Amino acid sequence: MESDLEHGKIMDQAGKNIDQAYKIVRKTYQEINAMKDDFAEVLREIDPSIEFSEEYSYGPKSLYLKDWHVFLFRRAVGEEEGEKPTEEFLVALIIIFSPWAHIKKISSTNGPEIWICKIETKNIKEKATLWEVSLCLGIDERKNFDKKLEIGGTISNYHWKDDKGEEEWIGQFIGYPLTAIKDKAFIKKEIIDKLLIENYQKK
Amino acid sequence: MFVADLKEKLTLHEDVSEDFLTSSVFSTFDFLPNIWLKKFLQTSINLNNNRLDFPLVENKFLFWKQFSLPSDFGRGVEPDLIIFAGNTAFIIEAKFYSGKSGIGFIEEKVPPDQLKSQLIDQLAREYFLGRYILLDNEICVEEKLFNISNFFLILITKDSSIPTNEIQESIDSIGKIEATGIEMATNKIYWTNWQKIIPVLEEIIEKSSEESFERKISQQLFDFLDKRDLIPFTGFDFLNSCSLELTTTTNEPIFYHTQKRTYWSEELFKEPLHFKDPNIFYMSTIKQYWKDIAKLKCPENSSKIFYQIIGR
Repeated sequence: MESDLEHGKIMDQAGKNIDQAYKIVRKTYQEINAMKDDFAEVLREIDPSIEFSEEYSYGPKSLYLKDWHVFLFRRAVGEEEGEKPTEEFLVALIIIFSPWAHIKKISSTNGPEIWICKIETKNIKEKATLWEVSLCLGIDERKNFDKKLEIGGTISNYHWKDDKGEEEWIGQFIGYPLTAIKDKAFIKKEIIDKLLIENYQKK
Repeated sequence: MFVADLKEKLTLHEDVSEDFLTSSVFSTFDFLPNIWLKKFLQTSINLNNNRLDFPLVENKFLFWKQFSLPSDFGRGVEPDLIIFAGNTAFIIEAKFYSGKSGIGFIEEKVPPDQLKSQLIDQLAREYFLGRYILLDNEICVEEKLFNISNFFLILITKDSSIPTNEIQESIDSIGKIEATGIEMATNKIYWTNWQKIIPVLEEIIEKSSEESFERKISQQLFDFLDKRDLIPFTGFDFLNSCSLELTTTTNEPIFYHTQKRTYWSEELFKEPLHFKDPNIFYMSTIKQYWKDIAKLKCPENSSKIFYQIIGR
């Protein structure tokens, strides 16, 4: 049996580990939320009608690291007149820490990755859900991309139409290692400018 | 001065209190040389995207002072803080989780059976405080006289960008009372956020000696704001370097265990740590587990992580 003194020393080391883990999780979520705010600001500069809509983690922000985390921004066309929207403009940030169900990381590196997408939906019956947007990255959806998804700033085009040829989703996806997202300038230049500036028209 | 807060001795109400946030931040600035307050306030912008600029002078703080307003300008008003500096008054309205108090106007009954429109918009009332009570008046604060010939109203929030709609609503309300006041109000109402204090504090910490008062108090305010997530985005570089060095066989950062999908499960604490009861660090719904965790010599707050994780 170890003495109480030895036990105490071991517990001190355990406490240090816990503290380090705590700080890393907390810092990660602080940065994720702060990054979302910077995205919101850059999007707002382009078109104030693109508004933050929802996020996947509705629980406490600080310490609840899920396998993936999503923020969705939305501009629903027609909604401002009180009508049911038939088309939407969506921007999503999808952060993948580890594989979950059909959503797998694209790269083989250990680190978490972030995918940012712009999607325009047409002839929709219901507003797109955060889940549906996230599942575009699912393995079953890979066939709907024009080329293999690659991490590091390459844009891949996504296209889907329902069986009746009515509802349609047209999107562009761009992905980076999460650690590549360094500041607001990077968000603007390497993500938003690439995804949105070209061919973007305010509705 | 922040120790009770940083050591989790305060209530949840105090944790999210905008009054506590306001007094903590500005009391700190009151102790620091003027240049640092100036640096923070100069991050403010108005709806024309003009940045606030003003000379550096000695100042006095007046917290939560109630003022009556002429009847056309709504009921009284109590700004969170007014900073008097030279000939300028800075009216500070601080927000944390709540929005501004009152929007636009309400209809009030006045005898005999008539309705009168009453301004309730908080920023608009504070603008009129500056315009008609402070401006061109002599104000005495702590036995020091200030001849006010200029004023600014600064809204501080945790928004990432200027809340245009909120400010425009207030300017519109001002315009309904005083059509000529719209341009002046647009030039007088500014906005900044709490997050912009962090770079100022980082500069103080970097430039001050380790044992200096400035550094210590700035570090405490930094921790205070960090605890409330009032920090700007600084990137994820830290994930490249963090590692818990958990076992002799792996040195992977805790998030990145893509194959095992374990963040906080048994892998984290299995080897080489040796506990009397090796099970106490396992994910568990047994109450005793959490009691044992609480006995560990963890730095404060740390055991909270497990309470969150069990919800997965």
